[in-house]
Amino acid sequence: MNDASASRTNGAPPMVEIFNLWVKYGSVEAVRGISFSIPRGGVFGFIGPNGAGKSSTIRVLATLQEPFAGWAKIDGIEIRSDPTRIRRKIGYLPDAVGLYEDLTVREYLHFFAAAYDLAEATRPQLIDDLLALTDLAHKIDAQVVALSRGMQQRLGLARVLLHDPDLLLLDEPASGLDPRARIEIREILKELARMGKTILISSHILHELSQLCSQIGILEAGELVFEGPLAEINRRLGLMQLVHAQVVNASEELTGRVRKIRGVESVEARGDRLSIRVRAEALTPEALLEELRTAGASVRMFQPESLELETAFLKLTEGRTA
Amino acid sequence: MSALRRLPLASLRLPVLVKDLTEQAAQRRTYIIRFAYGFVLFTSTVVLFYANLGTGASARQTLGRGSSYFAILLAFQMIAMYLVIPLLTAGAIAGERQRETLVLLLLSPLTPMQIVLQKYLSRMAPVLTFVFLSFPLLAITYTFGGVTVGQLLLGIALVTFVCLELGAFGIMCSSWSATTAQALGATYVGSLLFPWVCSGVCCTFPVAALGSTNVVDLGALTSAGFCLFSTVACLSIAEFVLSARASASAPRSVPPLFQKIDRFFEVVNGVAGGIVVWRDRASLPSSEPIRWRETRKRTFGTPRYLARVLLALELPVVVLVPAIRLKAAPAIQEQGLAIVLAITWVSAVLLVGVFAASIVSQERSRQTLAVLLTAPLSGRQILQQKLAGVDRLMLVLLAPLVSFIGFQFWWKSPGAGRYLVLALLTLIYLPCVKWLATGFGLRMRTQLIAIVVTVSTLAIWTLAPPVALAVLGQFQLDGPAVREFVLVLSPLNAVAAIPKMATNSSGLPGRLLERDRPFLWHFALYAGLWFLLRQYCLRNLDRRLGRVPQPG
Repeated sequence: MNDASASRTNGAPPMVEIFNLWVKYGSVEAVRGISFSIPRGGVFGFIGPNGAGKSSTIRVLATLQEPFAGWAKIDGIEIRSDPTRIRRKIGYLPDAVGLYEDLTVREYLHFFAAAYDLAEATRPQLIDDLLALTDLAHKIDAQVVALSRGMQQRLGLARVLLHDPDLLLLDEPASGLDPRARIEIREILKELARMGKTILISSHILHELSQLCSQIGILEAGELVFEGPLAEINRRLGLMQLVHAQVVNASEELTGRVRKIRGVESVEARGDRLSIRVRAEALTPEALLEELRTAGASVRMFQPESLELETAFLKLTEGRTA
Repeated sequence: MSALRRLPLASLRLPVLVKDLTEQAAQRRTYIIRFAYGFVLFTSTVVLFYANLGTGASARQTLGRGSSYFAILLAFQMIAMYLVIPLLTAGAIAGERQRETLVLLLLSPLTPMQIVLQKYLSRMAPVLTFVFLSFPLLAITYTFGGVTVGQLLLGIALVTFVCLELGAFGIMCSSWSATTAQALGATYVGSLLFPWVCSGVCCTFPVAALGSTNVVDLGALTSAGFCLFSTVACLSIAEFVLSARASASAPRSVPPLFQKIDRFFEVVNGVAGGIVVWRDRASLPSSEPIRWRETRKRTFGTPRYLARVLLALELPVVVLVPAIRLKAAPAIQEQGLAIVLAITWVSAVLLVGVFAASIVSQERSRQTLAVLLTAPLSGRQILQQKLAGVDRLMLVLLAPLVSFIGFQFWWKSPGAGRYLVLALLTLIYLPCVKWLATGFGLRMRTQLIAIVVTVSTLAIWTLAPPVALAVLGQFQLDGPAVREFVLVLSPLNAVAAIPKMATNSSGLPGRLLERDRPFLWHFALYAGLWFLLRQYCLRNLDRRLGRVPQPG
């Protein structure tokens, strides 16, 4: 959590609180009594196989799921007590972006600005700013239907940001995107997290979530099998992180010194390249870099691989569906 | 499903056919449609037989009536097949294309012809069960006499051939079309426009009605041969276009047409010196975004395009009604006016029905509804703004109807009160249709289902009372009170009566209530229906739209 958001949490309720949530479709129980909360400014990643109940949970928070049992609060307001107020606090980006083919980018954003009753005088500047943020300024007069999938997704993000919501509900925002578009979306989300937005994001691309989320929830067959910070998963499962380093002054002696660093599990040396496996809960990549320098290594290249979230996912789930 | 797998079909390597039949077997609607068809067929036949036999006619008197029963049953089958087959075939290939699974089928070792044939067989299987359902009834008509074995076999063969032909035509349209809705429209319209598709239909009725004693009747054989030829031709065309249009995208059929007209007018305008009657102004939504989109961006909401619709509908009325009134012989004036009015009415009702059914279901189909529902607009605001385009369209569609009544008023001043009744009827029907279709649009998951259900309901609503009256007539139960009641129920009777009343100059304002009582009841009934439908649509609207309602 960053400083800006931390200052806002004093005395305020969590941005999202869900307690014993049940969602049923006929005889199928899509969500089975899950409970969790997201602090203000937190980025919560929802992981789970298809049919695990991720979208149903997000739809409950987006006021689109009726009926459901249990309760869900956003900013301390129970969803059923005042859904209209909730709608002003959230920005919902569904799996299918939901764009009007007959509108241009400008018209589309003005359409939703009017739907959120934003002051007419401020709309042009606001839209320009959002298009600059999502790198779509040059497409302002393009037809929405003519945009690429990645651009449409970014336009969807610009749309959810129009009314400056406190909570972003993003259902698979990176699905179907090429690597470049995924990176662009990830960078925008990082920027939004820095701005203090609370984000609930579901994704199949675990690597993406590991780089973005402060908190992870793993759903399987409608049940929350794990919920907590990434470090907690690493600690609980004893996950390793692989770090690749290139050192100018590589030697047997240096490799020995690196092996002795607390948290390092093993070191493999090939020429000037070191592959270092560290216990993720014991040593962060930043701390390892510092320790390498302290050990006298002259580091030319340092590249930590992402945490093994896939491994965590496989260890925590059994492949069940609701 | 396991029973299906044990069928020899599986060993014949017909994966598409087996999959489609398995899917059909798992769908509840398959059994509902089959039961409904059988129920209507057998009930109608029982009523037909009972009306003729239950009135004390002796066995000798009924002898020879089989030919007329036979003709009626064949006609019923023809009409039913014409309505049902497009519904069954439209989604066969277009549905695969929409689900983006057609490309996968084409990548498999199956050839396009194998795919087309298996799709065709999967749709013909239920159709032929419908045809077979009537065989016992046709056999009963044989026992009444008047039908030869030859006629019986010929009739059965021709009905079967026509089904095969219509089915192939449906598969061809499905193979060409990007969407199921487009395929459905193309099959219905195409089978009307191309006479060769109806070749079997044209020949079957005379064979059944007039009676050909010879199975090898030349005309019937030619017809059967033509049916088979066009079946093969349609399937071949379907194969040809299958690969070529494997990934055809959903077209927006009306806007490109209007854009072509725009370009044409721009060229004409260049010659005429740049006259602009209506210039579209660029605008952005201020306070009611959904209304703005419906009236500025949608094809049938924008003033420029609505003006074209108005011209297309108003011109025939303005030209034809005075021509019929002034030039036609008095004996055919009523008939001529009825035809113009009927065409205007059917167009107006269908357009309003289709557009109102689409306003919510289309948002749902295109997955834009969820985004709209998370905006802080009330359900009522969303629906009423969405209906703004339909309201505009309705006003435009009312114009020719008002013109029609205006002409009558102009020429027939004595019955002024009567024209007021007619004008009120005109004003109440389209809002009724609007709310009925909106109600279906709110309930149905897809636009296509909403449109099909709306149009079917309108057809039943319009046609069921006269049909019921005809059935009651068979039992001599159609007294004046019953007739009046049926007149009250069906808009068809009221609309059909308008030209009759218009050409009858003896109407006096003072006798309005007595003479036009059914119309006043009719107006009261439809006003009540309008109110109930509107309340139904607006009540619990958030839940119907699919979101958490605001308490209180």
